[in-house]
Amino acid sequence: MTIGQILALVGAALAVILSGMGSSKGVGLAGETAAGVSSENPEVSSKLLVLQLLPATQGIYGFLIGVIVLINTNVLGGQMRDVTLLQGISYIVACLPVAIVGYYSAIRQAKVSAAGMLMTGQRPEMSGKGVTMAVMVETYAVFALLVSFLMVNAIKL
Amino acid sequence: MAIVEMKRLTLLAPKADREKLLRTLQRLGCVQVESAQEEPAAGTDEAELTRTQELLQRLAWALRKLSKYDDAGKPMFGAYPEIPHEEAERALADQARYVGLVERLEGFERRQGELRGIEARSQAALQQYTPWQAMDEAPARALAPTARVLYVAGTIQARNLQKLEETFLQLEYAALSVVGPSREKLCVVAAMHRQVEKEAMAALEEAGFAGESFAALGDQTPAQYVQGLHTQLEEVTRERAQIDADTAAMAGDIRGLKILYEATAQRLERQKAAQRFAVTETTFLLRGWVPAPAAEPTAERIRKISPACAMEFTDPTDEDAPPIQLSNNRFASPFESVVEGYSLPDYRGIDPTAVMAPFYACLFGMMVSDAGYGLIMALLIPVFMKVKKIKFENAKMLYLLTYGGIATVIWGLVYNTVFGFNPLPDSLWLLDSVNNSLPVMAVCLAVGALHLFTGLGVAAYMNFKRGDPLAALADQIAWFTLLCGAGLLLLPQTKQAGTVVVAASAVIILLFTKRGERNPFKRIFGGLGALYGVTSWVSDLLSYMRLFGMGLATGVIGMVFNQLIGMIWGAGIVGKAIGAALFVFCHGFNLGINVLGAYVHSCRLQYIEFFGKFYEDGGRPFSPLTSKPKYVSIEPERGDAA
Repeated sequence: MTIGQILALVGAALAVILSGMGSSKGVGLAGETAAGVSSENPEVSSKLLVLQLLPATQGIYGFLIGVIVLINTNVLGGQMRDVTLLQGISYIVACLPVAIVGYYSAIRQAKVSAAGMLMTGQRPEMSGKGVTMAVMVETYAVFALLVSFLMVNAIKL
Repeated sequence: MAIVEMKRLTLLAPKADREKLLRTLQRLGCVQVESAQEEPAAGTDEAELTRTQELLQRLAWALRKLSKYDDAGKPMFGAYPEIPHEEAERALADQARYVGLVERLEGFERRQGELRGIEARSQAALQQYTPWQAMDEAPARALAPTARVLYVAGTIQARNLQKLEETFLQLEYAALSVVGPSREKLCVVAAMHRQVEKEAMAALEEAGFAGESFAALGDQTPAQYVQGLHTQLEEVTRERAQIDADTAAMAGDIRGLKILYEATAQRLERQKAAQRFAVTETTFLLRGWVPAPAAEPTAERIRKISPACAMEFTDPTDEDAPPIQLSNNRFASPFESVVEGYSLPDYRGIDPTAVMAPFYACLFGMMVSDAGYGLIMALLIPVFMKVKKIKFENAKMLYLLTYGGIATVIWGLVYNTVFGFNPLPDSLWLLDSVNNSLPVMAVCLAVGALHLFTGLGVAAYMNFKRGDPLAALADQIAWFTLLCGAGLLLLPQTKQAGTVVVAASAVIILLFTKRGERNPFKRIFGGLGALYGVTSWVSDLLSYMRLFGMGLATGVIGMVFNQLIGMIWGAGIVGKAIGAALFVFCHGFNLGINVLGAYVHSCRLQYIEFFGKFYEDGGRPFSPLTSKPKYVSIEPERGDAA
């Protein structure tokens, strides 16, 4: 195995690890709030599930980029392609947007989600607004996913 | 296709007809009762209302208590079991018995609390006196002091026993007897002559002696007392089982309790409405809102019930803020829930549902973008609704998902994705987001531009309707041409034409945005500020890139699942079985997470990008006097339906 190949794997790992960390932290935080609000107001608990799931998507985006790296380098095919040192570094760079923005935005989004849950607990008719507020944060994760995807796909082996 | 026109209803009727009128209005469900006076009607009504509220709470509590014995299941999407009117009447006539049931349940609850107390006390006493069981005489007799000898009983630290025994041996006139161990301590009885009392007590104290009180035992030996405690605990368990059995036996009355609950809830709604009436000795005044189409039939019914009443329907004045009811055709009305999720339109504004509906379905389809998933939604949801007999009005969300599913099938075919596979031949491939993403992004931005321009168009239409064509020109049309011109700038052939269009539009925006401003400098600066808004157009448009991102996510995740499942597919029958199960599970997961994502992101694109261009919100929902069932719905009286 060459250094380049290892760097490509590091990139895939970063994308999955960081965004996954962010999402688990975020979903956990939102879940704690959901449990608290549900105990006060059980009727809204189903509305809270949507809010709790929102920070989960970043982890999926990271997973997606990680798998695309594995596909492009043919790790899934069993025989990893040759990756030069520069290409390996490129893979790491390409994975960074979804890794870093994924980590950060998941946690931020979870905080908005949690606040939205508190709002929903008090005023159940406002749950749609709470979701919209949280989705605002998601935009940047989507952009990071896009750019990571374009960069990963631009690396021709 | 719009906001329903509202009429203001003013009704003056004799008090004698009040109850009948309220019942009828509640059944019709098309009159929203407003406060007819500043202060709520005082007097006996208040006490009545509180009583009803209290009864409702007790019934809800009892139903919660009994819910685990209820085999009716929770009604979904408004598919409440229908109760024939006669049965409801019977249950209502039996009200006293049902209230008795609730009282019994409340009694059970109190007794359960007492039993918990008894149990806790018995357990504690058991722990305290079990170590003393070896004492074969009642402590009251055994420890009674004599003229010369004192007895004390209590616990000491086990490790101090040896030292204590030695001290007692030295004292000669003192004796120690170990009754038994009590955890890390020992239960001991000490006998001492009064002569050596001080020394013996000091030695005991040094050993960590804590005296035991046997007052609770009376004349019993510890063993007898402990036996008594066991019997008491058994009694508690038996009584609990009895209570559980008695509660379970009430399962048959759950239906009746539900009927009574609904009837009480309906009465509470009527009483709340009645609170808003203005009253005199013999008459009452109702003020409220009625949708214009329902005004005539409502008036007819009221006249039939209360011939002596006086009634008037008027149009809302400019100061009025009538409540909002949206009315759309069968395709668009499911999307009303999306509008309601944001905020209802102003009464004098426009209902955006019909314009928004096709876009919503389209955006939703682009984001889920898997024909297989779309097919599942478009087929399974209607079947589910048929089987469960769910009514259209109660399941708008399901219809929305069905329409989204249809759009998903179309976009899934365009993206050539079915359950993560790419079944269509290469020559037909229209869009391939993985290998050739630029055209896909262009399509996404084009859909976005169309969406945004439609929003602008609605705003222009509203300005024209209000007779303000200059506003339409400066705020909407000029922007439209400016952005189209900017688009032309990108191509070399049309660059010149583009420059002209952009310049002309910019001048219009610069000069006419602040139409009311006389001061030329302020006017120009205001225009410049407005021109700066071009950046928001860029961000609005880029926001539609999420269509690409979300669509890509669905397709690639599906593809990855298929690749992983493909790895175990080859491993014989077992591999195929596991692979098939995994296929269903994985794609189910992908479907769920992406439908959720597509739903919220479509909402966002509507709320922020689309509504931002024209929407005037701020209406309050029309909430007529009606009955909202929670458990069962009671059919109306036959004679009354005519």
